[in-house]
Amino acid sequence: MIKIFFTLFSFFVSITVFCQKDFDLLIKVVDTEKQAIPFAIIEFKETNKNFYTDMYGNLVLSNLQANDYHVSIKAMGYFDQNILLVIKDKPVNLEIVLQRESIELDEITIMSKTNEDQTDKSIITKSALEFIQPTSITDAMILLPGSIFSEPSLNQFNGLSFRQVGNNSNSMLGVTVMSDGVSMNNDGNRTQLFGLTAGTNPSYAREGNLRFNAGLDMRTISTDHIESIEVTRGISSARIGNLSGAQVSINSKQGLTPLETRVKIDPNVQMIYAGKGFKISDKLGVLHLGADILQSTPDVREQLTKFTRLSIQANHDVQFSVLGKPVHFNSKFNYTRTVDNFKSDQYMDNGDEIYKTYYDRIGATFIASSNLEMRLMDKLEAIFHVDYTKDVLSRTFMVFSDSGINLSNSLEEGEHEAIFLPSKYMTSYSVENKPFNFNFQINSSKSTKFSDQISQTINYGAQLNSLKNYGDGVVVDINRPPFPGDNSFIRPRPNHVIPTLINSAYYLESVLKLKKENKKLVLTTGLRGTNLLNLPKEYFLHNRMILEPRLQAAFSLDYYLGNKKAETSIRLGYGEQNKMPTLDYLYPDKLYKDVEVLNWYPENEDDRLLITRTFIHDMANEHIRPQRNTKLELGIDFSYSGLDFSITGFSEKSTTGFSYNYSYFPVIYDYYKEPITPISGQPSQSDFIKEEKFQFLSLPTVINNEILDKKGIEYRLVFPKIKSLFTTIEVNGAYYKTTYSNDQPKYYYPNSLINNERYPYVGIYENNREDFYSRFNTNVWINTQIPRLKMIFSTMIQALWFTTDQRGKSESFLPSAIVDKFGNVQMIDYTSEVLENPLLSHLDLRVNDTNFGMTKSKPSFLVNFKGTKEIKNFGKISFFVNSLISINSKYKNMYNVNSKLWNTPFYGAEVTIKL
Amino acid sequence: MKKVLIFFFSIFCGLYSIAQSLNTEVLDFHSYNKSYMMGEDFMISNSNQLLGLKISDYNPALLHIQNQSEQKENNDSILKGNTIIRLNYEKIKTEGVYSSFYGNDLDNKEISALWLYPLDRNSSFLGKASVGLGRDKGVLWNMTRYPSIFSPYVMMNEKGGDYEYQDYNFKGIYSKQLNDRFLLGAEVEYRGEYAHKDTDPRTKNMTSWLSAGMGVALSDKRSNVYSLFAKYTNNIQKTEADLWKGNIKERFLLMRGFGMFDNVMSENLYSKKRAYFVNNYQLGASSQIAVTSKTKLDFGFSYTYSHLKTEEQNTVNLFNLTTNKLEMNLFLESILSERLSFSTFFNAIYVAKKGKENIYSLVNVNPDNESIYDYNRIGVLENYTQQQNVLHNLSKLSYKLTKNKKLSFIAGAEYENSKEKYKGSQFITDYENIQSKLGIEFLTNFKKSVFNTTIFYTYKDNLYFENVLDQTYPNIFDPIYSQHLASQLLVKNSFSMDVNYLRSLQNGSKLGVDLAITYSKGKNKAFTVFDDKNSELWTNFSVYYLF
Repeated sequence: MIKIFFTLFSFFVSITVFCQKDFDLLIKVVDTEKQAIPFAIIEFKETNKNFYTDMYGNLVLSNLQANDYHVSIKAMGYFDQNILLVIKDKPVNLEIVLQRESIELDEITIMSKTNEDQTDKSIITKSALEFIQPTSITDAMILLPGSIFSEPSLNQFNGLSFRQVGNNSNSMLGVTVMSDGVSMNNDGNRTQLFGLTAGTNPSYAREGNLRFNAGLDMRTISTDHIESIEVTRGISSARIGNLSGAQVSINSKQGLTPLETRVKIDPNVQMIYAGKGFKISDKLGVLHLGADILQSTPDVREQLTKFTRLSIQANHDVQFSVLGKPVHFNSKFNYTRTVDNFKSDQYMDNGDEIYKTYYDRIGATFIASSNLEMRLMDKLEAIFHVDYTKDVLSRTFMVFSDSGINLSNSLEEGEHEAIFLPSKYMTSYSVENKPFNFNFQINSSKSTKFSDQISQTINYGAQLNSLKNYGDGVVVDINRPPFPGDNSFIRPRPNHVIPTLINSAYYLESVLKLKKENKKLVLTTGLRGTNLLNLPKEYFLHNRMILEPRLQAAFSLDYYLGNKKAETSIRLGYGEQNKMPTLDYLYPDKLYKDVEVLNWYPENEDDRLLITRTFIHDMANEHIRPQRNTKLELGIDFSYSGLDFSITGFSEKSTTGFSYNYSYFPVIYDYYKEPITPISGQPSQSDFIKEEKFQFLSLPTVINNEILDKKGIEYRLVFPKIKSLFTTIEVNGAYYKTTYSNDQPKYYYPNSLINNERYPYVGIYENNREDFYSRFNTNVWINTQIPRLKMIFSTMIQALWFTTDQRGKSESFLPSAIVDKFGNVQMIDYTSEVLENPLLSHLDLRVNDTNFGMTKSKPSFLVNFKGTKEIKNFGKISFFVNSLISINSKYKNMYNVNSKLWNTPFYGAEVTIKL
Repeated sequence: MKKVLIFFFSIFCGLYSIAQSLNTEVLDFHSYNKSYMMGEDFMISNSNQLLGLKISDYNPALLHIQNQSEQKENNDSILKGNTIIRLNYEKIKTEGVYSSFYGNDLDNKEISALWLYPLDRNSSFLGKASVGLGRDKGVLWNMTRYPSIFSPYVMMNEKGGDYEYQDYNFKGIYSKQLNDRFLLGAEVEYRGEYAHKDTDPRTKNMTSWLSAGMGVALSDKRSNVYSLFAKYTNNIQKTEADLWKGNIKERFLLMRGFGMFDNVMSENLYSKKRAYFVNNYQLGASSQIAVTSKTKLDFGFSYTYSHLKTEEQNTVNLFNLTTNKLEMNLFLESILSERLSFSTFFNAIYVAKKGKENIYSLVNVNPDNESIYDYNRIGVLENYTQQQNVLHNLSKLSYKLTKNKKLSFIAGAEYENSKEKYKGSQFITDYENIQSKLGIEFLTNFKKSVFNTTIFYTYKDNLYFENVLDQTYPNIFDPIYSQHLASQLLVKNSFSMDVNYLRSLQNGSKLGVDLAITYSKGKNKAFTVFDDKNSELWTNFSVYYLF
C-alpha cells in the first residue's frame, strides 16, 4: 500500500513554475465607522494563500497574476466577507467594510460549517460558540453529526472521543487537540499507585477525575479564549501527527475587540470572563487580553467538592519587515490554574478527608510567518512553543484496614522482615507531575498555478517535540500506605528519573486542484514520518520511522437542475494514523508483589515477626508499538438552491490499543508453617517448620492488545432558509456500530482452596470478551433568527432511535489450555478431560444465555432550547434549557425487566456586555 | 405602550413570586391581595391588577390591542422597543404555626427583564426573562416542591432541612391583528426551578413548566372585544434524594392523603428517585363590553383540566390525580363623574380533585432466572377526592383630589371552602374560611416623578372545621397533615403597606423603587397540639429601570 502511495505521491508532487503578467493590489479593511482593522486575515482560495493586514488594515500585494480570485476576509468579532476579485489589466485598490457581528444582522452562523474542500472538517465559529455557551469544548461537539447530548460535568475527567458508542482510554488518547498549530498533550503525565492506575481504581478512591493515558482533560481548556474550533474526524492532514483519532484545532482570540464581559450561571457552574483587544501602538501591534474564572460542583447538593479554574491568555500580533519581506509575528501566553477540591462531610464520623488537585500550566507560543514568494516556497512559518505544567494531587484521609494487613518496603526480591499495619491510621500522599514540553516546527508551502485548470499547493515541514517530566511522582509515607488492600505500587520512582520523550516528524503534502468546466477534483496526498528518539536500543521503536500515508480525493460536478445550480461531490479518504505510546506506557514502574511467608503474632508487640517474600515484575514491554488506526471514508455531498445534503460512511479499525494486561504468573516459595519448638521472645525463620507453597500472582504488562472497531454512517441535511419564519433547519445524525475487544486470551484463576491447598490451575480461554454497541440518532436543529427583535432561538430535537449493547457470544467460557503451578502451559480439551480431572470443573465459566441477550432501547426524544436576546448594542441575555421535553419509552432490558432512561431538565442563563 | 409593559412586567415578576411565597399554586387567587404599584403612567393597568387578574389578561391575542390603544392614546407614532430591568428582594418570616411543607423563613432575590416590541402596525411582541435565587428554611416532612400541585401524592422523609433554589423563567407573547376585527396571539413560557437540600437525605428537585397558548379575539364596531384562548402546560418535577452519610438507610414515604403512605413502596433506601408528570389544559373565554361610554364590563370564564401521574425509578406508576377547575370572573369599571370612578371585581373558583392508586405485585419475569423480578399492575383504587370553592370580591372607589392627586378606597371579602375525603374510610376534612379587606390608596403626580402608596387591612377567620381520623389505616397524621392544615385555618389580622416612587431621568428613561410590607398576626383554633400563635412578616423591595 505504501509503495503505491509513494508512486502516486511523487507524481503529484512535481512542481513547475511559469509566469504570467503581474499587477499590484491594495486592500484596506475597515469597520462600519471606517476604523482600520489590523491583522484581518485575507484568504485567496485559488492559490491557498493567507495574508494578514498590517496595523493600518492594509494589505499590499505586488506581482499578482491577472485572474479572478475568490477572496475571503475575516476578523474576530466581524462577519466574514467573501468577494470576487477581478485583476485584469491595472493595479487595484479596494476598501472592504466588515460588519460587526450582531443578531440584528441576518448573517449569524450558529451551526458548525463545513470546509469547502474537505467537507468532513467541521468549523465551529465564534458566533456558534457564543450561542452554544460551552463551559468545555466537549459541549460544543453537540453541533457535529452523530453527537448526542449529555449533561456536562466539570468534576470528572472530560475527554473527547468521536464516531463511537461509549468511549475508552485509547480512543480519548488518540484524539489530538491543537492550539494555534501546536499539539496540547499530556503524554508526559503519569503515576502508578494503587487507586490511580488504570484498572485499579476502586470505588472509594476519589481519583476518578484524574486519568492518565487517556488524552487531554478538556476541563483544563477554557472556551472563553477561543475564536473558533475546527474538527476533523476523518483523515487529518499529513501536517498533523501523533494521533489515532480525530483532530480538534483551536484558534485563539486575537486582534482588536471591545471590552467583553460574560457571566454564566447554572445550578452547577458559575463563570465570569472579561476580555479586550487593544492597540498598543502602530509599531508595537495589537494585544488581546482575556481572563476567566469558573467554578463548578458535581452536584448542586455537594458544596464541598469544587472544581475551580482560572485562565488568562495574552495574544499579541505585530508586523514588521525583515529583508524587505513583511513578517507577521504572533506571541501567545497562556496561564491556566485549576483546583479540584474535596473536603469530606459525609465521612466526618470516620475522619476528615481533604483532597485537592492543583493544575498550573504556563505556555508560550511564538509564530513567525512570512509570505516570501520565493521559488521553492511562498510562505514560511516557524513555530516555537514551550509549556510547563505543575500537576499536583494531594490527599489526606483516614485508612481503615482489617487487622492482619501487612506491609513490606523491600526494593529487592527475596525474604524480608515486614511490619504490621495498625487497623486505623491517617495518611497523606501526593502525586506530582511536572511535564515540560518543547515544540519546534518549520512549515512551508508553495502554491503553483499551472494553468487556469490546474493548481497545486505543496506543504512540507518538520517538527520536533520534547517532553520531560520533572515531577517527584508519587510521594507517600511508605509505612502508612493509602491503599493497603494492594501494596503493588508503593515503591514508586520519581518521574524525573524517566528519560525525555522526544519525537521528530517530517511531512510532505500535495493539494492538487484540477478544474475543467463544471468539474473539479481536489486530490490531497500526504506522507508523514515520525521517529521516536532517545529510546533504549532494545525497544522496537528505537530508530524506527513510522510512516503514515494519507490520501483524500474530492470530485465535484456543477450542473443545473431547472434554472438553479446544483453541485454533487464524491469524497474518498484513506489514512493511517499513529498515536505514539505515552511516557507511562514506555516506562512503567516495576511492580513489587509481597507474599506473606511468616506471621508470628504474640501479644507482646516486641516478639512479633512478619516475613514477606518480595517478587519484582517488570511491566515494561520493549516490543510496544504505536496505536495504529486505519481509516477509510467515503462521502457524497449534494447542494441545490440552499439545500445541502451530505452523507459519509467510515470504517476505522485499531488493533493495537494500549493496555495494562493482567496475566497470572505462578510463584513457589517457602512458607513458615509452625514453630518447631515452643517459642519465647522474638523468633527467627529457622525456628519454624518450612513448607513449600505456591501462588498465582496476577501481574500486568503494557501491551498493544485492545481492539476498537468503528463503523458508521453520518448524515447532514441543511434546508434552505424559511424566510417567512426566519428559520433554518438542519437535520444531522449518525448510525454507529462500535466493537470493543481484545486480541489476548482470557485468564481465569478460581482463587479457591481444594483440600486446604490453593487451586492448582489457571485457565486460558481462547477468545476474550467482546462487546458490541450500536446507536442511531437524528438531531434536528431549528434555528430562528429574528433580526428585528435581535433574537435567536435554537431548538434541538434529539431522536435517539435506539441504542443496543450486547456481549459477544464468541467469548470462550471453557478453557482451551491451563497453566499449572510450575508455569507449564498445557492445551486441553475441556469436555473430555474434565471427566478424568474433575478439578477442571472450577474453570467452567459458562453462564446463562440471558447474559448474551441484546438490550435495545426504544426511541427516546429530547428537546433542548437556547435563546439569545441582544439588548441595544451593548449586551446579550441568553437562556438555555436542556431536556426541556424528554420522552423516554419503557423498554425491556435483556433480563426482561422494565427500564427507562432518566432525564432531568437543566437550565441556566448568561449575560454578555460589550462596551 | 409603557403601561402595557409595566402591566405584564408586574404580572410576571411581582405576582409570580408572591404567589409562590404564599404557597397558593392551586388557587392563584390568593396572590391578588398584594401587588406592585408602578405609578401614574400605569394607573389603568394597576387598577385591574390591584383588584385581581381577569381571564382576559391571560389571552395572548389581546396584547396588540392593549399596545395599540395606548399608542393611539399617547399619539405614539414611533415604533420602538421598551425594556425594563428589575432587581427584587423578597423575604417572608413566620413565627409560631406555619405550614411545614413550605418552611418559615423564605427569601428570594431576582433579576428580570421585560421588553415589548411593536413589530409593525399590526403586531406586537413581548418577551420576558428572569433569574432568581432563594432559600426556604424550615421545611419539614416534605421532599416535594410545590406540594399543592402534587398533593396528596407527595414524597416525604422525617428529616427536614433548608432548600436553596435557582429559578429561571422566560416567556414570549406574539399578537397580530389580522384585519379590523380579528386578532390572533400565541405565547410560550418556560419556567424551571432547580432546588436542593444539602442535608441528608440530600434532595434535589427539578421542576419545570412548559406552556404554549393560542388566543383569538374579535372586536365589533362598538369596540366590544370577545376572546377565546387555549393553553397547554406540561409540568414535570423530578426528585432525586441520596444519602451522603455512611451506611444508614432512610425511609422515603410515598403519601396518599391524610398522612397515609404506601406501605410496600415506601422503602428504606440509600437513594430514591421519583418523577411527577402533569398535563394541564386550559380553555378560557372573555368578553370586554363597553356598556356605556363610561362603563366597561369584562366577563371571563375558564375551565382547566389537569392530569398528574407519578413514576418511580423502577418505572412503576403508583398514583394518578385528575383535577377539574372552573373559574369565572366579572370586572366592572365605571367613571361616575369627572372626579369619581368605581371598579369592582368578582371571582369564583371551583376545584375538584380525584385520585387513583395503582396496586402492583412483584413477580418473576425471567423463566431462565428465578431471581429476576419486576412489578405487574394488578388493580386500581379510586379513593381520594377533594373539592375547593373560593368566592372573592374587591371593589374600589377613586376620587381625584386635584389634577395630580388621587385617593381610592378599597373594600372586599372572600369565602373559601375545602372538603377532602378518602373513600372506604372515615377520613374527612372540611373547613370554611372567610376574609374581609379594607384599603386605601393614595397617588401623587409630581413634575418628574410619581409617588404612590397603598394601605390594606385584612381579617381572616375560620367559620367551620370538621376533621375525622381513621386509625384503622396506618398513618402519620400528626405532624404531617395537621400542622399544614392548622396553618390554613388560622384566624388572622393583616396589615399591608406598599410605597412606590418612580422618577423620570434626563435621557427619557425612568428609575423606580418599590417597598411592600405585610405584617400579620394569627391564632390557631383548630388544633391544640401546636403553638396557638402565628405571626408573619412579608417584605418586598424592588428597584426597576425602564428604558
